[in-house]
Amino acid sequence: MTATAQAPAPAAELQRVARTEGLVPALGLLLEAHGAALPLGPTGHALLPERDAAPDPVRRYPLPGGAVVLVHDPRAVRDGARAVDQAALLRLRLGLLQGLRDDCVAHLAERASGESTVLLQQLVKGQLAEALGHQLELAALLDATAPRELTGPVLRDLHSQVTAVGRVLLRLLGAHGFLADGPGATAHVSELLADVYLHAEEAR
Amino acid sequence: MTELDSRLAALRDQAREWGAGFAAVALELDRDPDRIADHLDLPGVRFMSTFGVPAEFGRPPLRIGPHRFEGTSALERAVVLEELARGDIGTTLAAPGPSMSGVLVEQLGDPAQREWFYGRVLAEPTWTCFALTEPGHGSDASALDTVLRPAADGGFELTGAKRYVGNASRARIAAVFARTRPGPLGVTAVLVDTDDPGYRAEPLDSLGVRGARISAVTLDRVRVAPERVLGRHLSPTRRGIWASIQVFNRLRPTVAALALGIAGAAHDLLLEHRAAARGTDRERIERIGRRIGATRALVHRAAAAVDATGDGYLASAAKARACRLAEEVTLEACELLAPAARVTHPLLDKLVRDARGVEFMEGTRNVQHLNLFQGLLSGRVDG
Repeated sequence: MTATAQAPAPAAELQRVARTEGLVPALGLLLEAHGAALPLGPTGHALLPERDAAPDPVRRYPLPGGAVVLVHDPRAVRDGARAVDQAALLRLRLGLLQGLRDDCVAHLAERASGESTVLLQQLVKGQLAEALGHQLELAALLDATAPRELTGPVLRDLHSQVTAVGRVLLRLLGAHGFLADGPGATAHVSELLADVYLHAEEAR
Repeated sequence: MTELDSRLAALRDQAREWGAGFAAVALELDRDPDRIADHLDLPGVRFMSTFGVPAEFGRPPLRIGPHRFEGTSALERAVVLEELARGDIGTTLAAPGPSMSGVLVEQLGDPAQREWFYGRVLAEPTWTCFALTEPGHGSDASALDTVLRPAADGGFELTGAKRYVGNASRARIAAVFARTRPGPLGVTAVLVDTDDPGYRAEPLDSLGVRGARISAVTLDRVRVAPERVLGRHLSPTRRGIWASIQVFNRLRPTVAALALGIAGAAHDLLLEHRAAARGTDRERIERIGRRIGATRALVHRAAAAVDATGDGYLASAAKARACRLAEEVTLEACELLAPAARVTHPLLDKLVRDARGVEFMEGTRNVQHLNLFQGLLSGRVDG
């Protein structure tokens, strides 16, 4: 039996899509759940699949599986932007993190090191296991946490942990993770999601 | 976060009360582990002395309100041991009782062996020990040097050396791992009466978890009757290294829970002595509380997985995370509590030392990581 973290169904689906299909389909699912009102971060920024956005975005990220754009609506700050579903956003990032680990394992299994592969070097095994252990803990915690408990400091903490685990995996990917059209780019936009949608520290 | 159901919450609250009694004697036992003999009447120690003995042997199950507890599931053990270790891990491990050997006997004992073992444990406070670790191979069960050889009279002789075995110098019964032949099917465990000639245990002076009285054991042709060979009614595949792994899987969440307890005790000290903390310090203390909650969620999930399937990969993750937590939280507590905190708060000094001790129990973090990696590679763990 596989010892898998069991999330509630919609959260599990969002996490699965993020892991196996990538950021664009997962972002689509996340936004769908918000209906017509687009959720924006506290500064009026949002990250959207390119197909759903107006032309002239602030930035564009051509990721595997489709491009994502950063947009800005300054009126939203004045009018009170609708907040993103923070629990769902965390699930999405956790799914992306799992996908990054999958990429990492596949990539390292292909790279030769002496008579073996990089994947089977003890240091690499240890770092992958450390990342996995941390991911398992994050999954167990999210399953045990009600959305109302996801207050500012808790969210900042959890997002920064997701980012930290991602950085461990990115180091294992080496320069391959530094290319703008590879898994490192998805990880970069995953970090950006936290940056855009989290409230600033002074708003505590 | 990580709310327990009402049944386990009742068990936790009871164990927390017992743990408070342990906290009161923690420094005394840290100075002199033999003082446990003066505290056998502590309610928590009395509980531990029969914790895990199945009800069929005449031990009345623990009842709290409408709930009844056998104490044989990994989840129940994790809930109890976190709270007891939050009081004091030294007293928790100094207590007599079936402890780790009980889990082994449950896994491998035949009816007569269970009767003998539990009968002795129930008759009077009886220390037991779990002798696996060896000077040359740590707790790697596949690399054992201790041998169990057939003797002329139809019994066996046990010869070898063990090290870092908790309670070995106090134990009346030792569960000893040995090898009957090369290979994974040659690993076996026997029950030894420590009064038998050839068994010698010398306490080792340790930096932390001093209540556990870790010892070096020498086994010089100790006679073992055939009926003391655990798993003798099972096939070699069911009693060899496979059985050992099952036992270690069951024990691992418990060790993780002990580490959680140490972290919780350090957090309690911060809440008590830094109640007025503001700003960054306050945030750091709150964050420590959240970290403990997060790791607890993983430990409980791992314990539930072991109970459901016997699978220990999550338990490896939980043990590694919990030991890291204990070390980091106790060190951070030093920074947050006061200058020279380890001098002015002897309890914190003890916790810092204890946190290092859980790292070595049931496989270090590196060993757990290698096990977890195998789970990842084989697709048996995902998260």
